[in-house]
Order: sequence, then structure tokens, then C-alpha cells
Amino acid sequence: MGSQIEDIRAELHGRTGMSEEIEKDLFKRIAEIEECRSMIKPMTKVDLISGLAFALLLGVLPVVLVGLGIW
Amino acid sequence: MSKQEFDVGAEAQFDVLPVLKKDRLYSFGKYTYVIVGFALATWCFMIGGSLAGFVGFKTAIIASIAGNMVAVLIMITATVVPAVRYGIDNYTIVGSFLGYNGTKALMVLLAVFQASWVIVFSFMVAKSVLAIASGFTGTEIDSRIILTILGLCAAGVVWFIAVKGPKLFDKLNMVFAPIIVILMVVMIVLVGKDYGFSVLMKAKAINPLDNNWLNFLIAFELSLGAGFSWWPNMGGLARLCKTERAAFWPNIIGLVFGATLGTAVGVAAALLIGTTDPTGWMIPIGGLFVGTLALIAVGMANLTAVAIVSYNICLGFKQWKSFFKMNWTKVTGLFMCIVFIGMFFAVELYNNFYIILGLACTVYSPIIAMQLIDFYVFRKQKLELRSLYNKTDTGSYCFWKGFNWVAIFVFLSGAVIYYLIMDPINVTYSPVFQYTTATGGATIYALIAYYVLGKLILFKKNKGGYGGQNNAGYHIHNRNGEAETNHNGNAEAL
Repeated sequence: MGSQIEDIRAELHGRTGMSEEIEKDLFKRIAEIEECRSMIKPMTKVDLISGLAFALLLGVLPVVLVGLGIW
Repeated sequence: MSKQEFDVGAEAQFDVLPVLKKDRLYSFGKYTYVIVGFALATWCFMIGGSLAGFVGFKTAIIASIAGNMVAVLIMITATVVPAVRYGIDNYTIVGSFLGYNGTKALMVLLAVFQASWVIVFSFMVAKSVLAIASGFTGTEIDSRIILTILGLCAAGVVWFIAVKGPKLFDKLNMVFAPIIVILMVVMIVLVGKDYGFSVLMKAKAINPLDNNWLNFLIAFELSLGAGFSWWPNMGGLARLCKTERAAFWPNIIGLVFGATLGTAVGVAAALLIGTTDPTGWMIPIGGLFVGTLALIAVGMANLTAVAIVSYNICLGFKQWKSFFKMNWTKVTGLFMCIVFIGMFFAVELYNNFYIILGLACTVYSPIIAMQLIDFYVFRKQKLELRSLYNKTDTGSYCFWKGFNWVAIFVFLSGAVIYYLIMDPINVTYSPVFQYTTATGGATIYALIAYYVLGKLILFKKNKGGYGGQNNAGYHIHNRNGEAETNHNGNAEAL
């Protein structure tokens, strides 16, 4: 992780508009995320399918039904 | 947790630094409270009043759920997913397609809209206080000076809540969100009891057009616009969620179903009582006790809602070097200075607020469309954090000295397309409206225009990191939660 931070520092130091102290914190955070050490749980296929189902059933279908004069 | 770690986490809430997993505050439940409380504020009643102009109660609910569902799903897919995945706010993310200076230009425009919301809501809280005082004393109090003083006090409370930030949002909304949901249901029941549900269901729209399909489409369009208009407030809080699921679904619960509940109350009040201003109908419908309770709860929801608005826009201000170095109280204080000055013109702003709402409608469709194309199509869900924080010409996302002129062209032309399809201020529309709606038309235009112009100009000129993006280490995980690439681009299991 140390070399990763050094690599980020070499690329970003003085280019972020932040003070040196905050930059240090920023580089540590970017390194953690890039190394997948701060990974959060992603959505699953169930979430995606549910989202799509909601969009179709409660978003598109009502418009179609009103358009066809059924509602 | 050590003191040092705690402070770093607290700092991240009020800064644009990426928020790490260990610093995140919101579980699914907590974020649901925050978003439901945020959604169920006076904007629902205002939108409800607009819908009642064109459609009756049942059709308004159908249009509200359908329009909000489509718009909120699209909007959160564009904003919340990258925000929660990388732990960054929306105004940092848009740097990937607007450029770091383009983002600042957008911020100026949004600051006007957001300050207007804070002024109008603080003013409405002041009106609520006067309505409660009138209810108890039986004397009509209508003094502009008193209203202005109360409005300034309300804005002061907004500032206090915004300074305290996400932890206080959560605490306040855990109390007020359930109360408001219950009170909204009670209000609908009371309206039904007083006027009869059959009367409510049969009540005619206030000022409909001759064509029922067009009336429905306008109600649907207003709901689409309402769903998209949450955009400036997304990301800042979503980045504090512990999982993608915790950031995604509470928006559906709050911004679609919660907002529709409030909209239904607004429609009922507009159709049966003839006003959308809660100070005008809550005490007459609910009686002094329930009405007062409802006004206090809605007032608190309004204050928290615009505190969230202030929090998000002030995070965005941190894109400026001079703001970044300021502490949080000063950043929010500077924003509130605009609000405090504007409070002296609150009556005029309140009476002409539909103009600002109309202008705001034209802005969000092209921005959301470009964000979708940028994140999902062009960048394949991979953002370079290093480039997002690089505010010089050496970063991949600098485009042309920090401006992506292609995005700016699509943004401006998208707003014009919206306006040509429908003038949101005067509610006049072109024939295209009945096939696409204005939000739909402007979104489809921006999706196609940014894709085509991006491929033709940005990819060919290798601008914005599109032509040869460096993917090293920036892809966090795939859908199954497995790491796909590490910093050196090698496959690596977690």
C-alpha cells in the first residue's frame, strides 16, 4: 500500500487544490479503494431484476393502460 | 474506534474525500428514514396542486407513481450507484463528463435553484408558525415583518441542521418521517370523512385541457420532472451508505411511494379545498390539535429537507479551491448568506416560484442522460478516482482546460429541446409532446447526442480519457462482488 500511495502522490501532489495534510488523507483513501480494500457490497441480480420489474409494472404499464383507455 | 479514526470519518462527511467503508453511517433502515423524511415535505403538496390542475385524484396517483418510478429509477441508476460504489459525492462524479471547470459552472446555476428552495421552505415554515398562532388565538396575523423575522429564524435552524450534517438528518427523520407518514394517512382519511371518498374520487380537475390523454401526459410529465429534480440532492448522502442496496431501494420507497403519498394529499387538498399551501388546509381539515401537529411535523420535515439540500450544494462548493480550505460552518454560512438576503424577497419569490421550477425542469434531463452514457456506456462503470481529484490539465478528465464543450453543447441544446417540446412556465406544448413528453424527449435527445458526439469528437480526439482510458486498479468489483483487476491490472480474488 505504501508504494501505491507514493504512486498516487507522484501523480496528484499539488494538483488537487487541497492542503498537504488533506491530500495525504485523500491519497490513502484512493489507494484503499484502488486496492479493493474498501469494497462495499454491490447490488445482486435480484435487485436489478426487481428494479426492471418495478419500472415496467409501475412505470410503463400504467401509461400504456391509460393510453389504451383501459384505466 | 480510536479518536483519530473517528475524526477522519467525521471530516469525510463534510468533505469531498472518498468515504471508506468503515466511515459509512447509513444502513438500509436509517437511509430509508432520511429519504422518506426528505421526500415528504411541502414539495409533494406543491406538485399535487399542479397535478390537480389537469387530472382528478385517481389519475393523479397513477401518473405520480408511474412518472416518479421511471424518473427516480433512471436518476438513481445514474447518480447513486457510482456515488455509493466509490464513496464520492455527485458533484465530484460529474467532473468525469463535464470537466472540473464545467462542474463549477453548473454549480453556479444549481446554487440559485437550491437557495430558492431554502428561501421558499423557510418562508413556508414561517407561515406555518403564523397559522398555528392564528389557530390558537383566533386572530388573523398577516404581517410581512413578522413573516420575514420568522423566515430568518427558520433559515437559521436550517443552517444549524446543515452544519451538524448526516448524523442529525438521520436522528431527526427517524422521529419525524414515521409521524408524517401517519399524519398523511390520517389527513386523507379525514378528507374522506369530511367530504366523502366518492366526492374525492369524482372531483374534476381544476383547469383541464379538452383531451384526457394530454391531461394524463402533463401529469405524467410533471411527475417525471419531479423525479428528475432530486438529482442535485443525490450522491452526497448515498456515499455514506454501507451497501449499494442500502443506497438504492430507500430512494424508491421515499422518492416514489413516500412522495406519492404526499402528492395524493396535495391533490385532495387542491381538488376539495382549493389550496395546496398546507397552512391553508391542515388546521381546517385536521382540527386544531391534529392540524397543529401536522403543521409542526411538516415544518420540521421542510427544515430537514432543505438542510439536506444545503448540505449537498455546499459539498459541491468544495469543488472550488477557496471553499475547500474553509471549514464546514463557513461554507454553509456563505450559502446561507444568500438565503438570509433572499428572505427579504421571499413573498415575491414564493409568488413566482413556478418560474424557477419551470427553468429547473429543463436542466436535469440532459445532465442525467449524459451521466448514464458516461458511466455505463463510455466508462463501463469504471471511474478513475485520481483523475476526478486532479484539478489540472494533467488529469484524464480535464477535456479542454476543465471544460467538456461537447457536454456543455448537449446540456444547453437539451434544455432548448425540452423548452421547444414544452414550455414549463406557461405549460404550452408542441405536437411532439404527446409522443415523447418533454422530459422523455430531452432525455432521448441527450442520450443520442452525447453518445454520437462523444464517439465522433471525444473518442477521436482522445479527450476525457475516453479514447484510451487507463483502467489500472480503478475497477473495484464485478456484479458478484469479486475483484476484477488490481492496480497492476492482474486478476485478483478478494
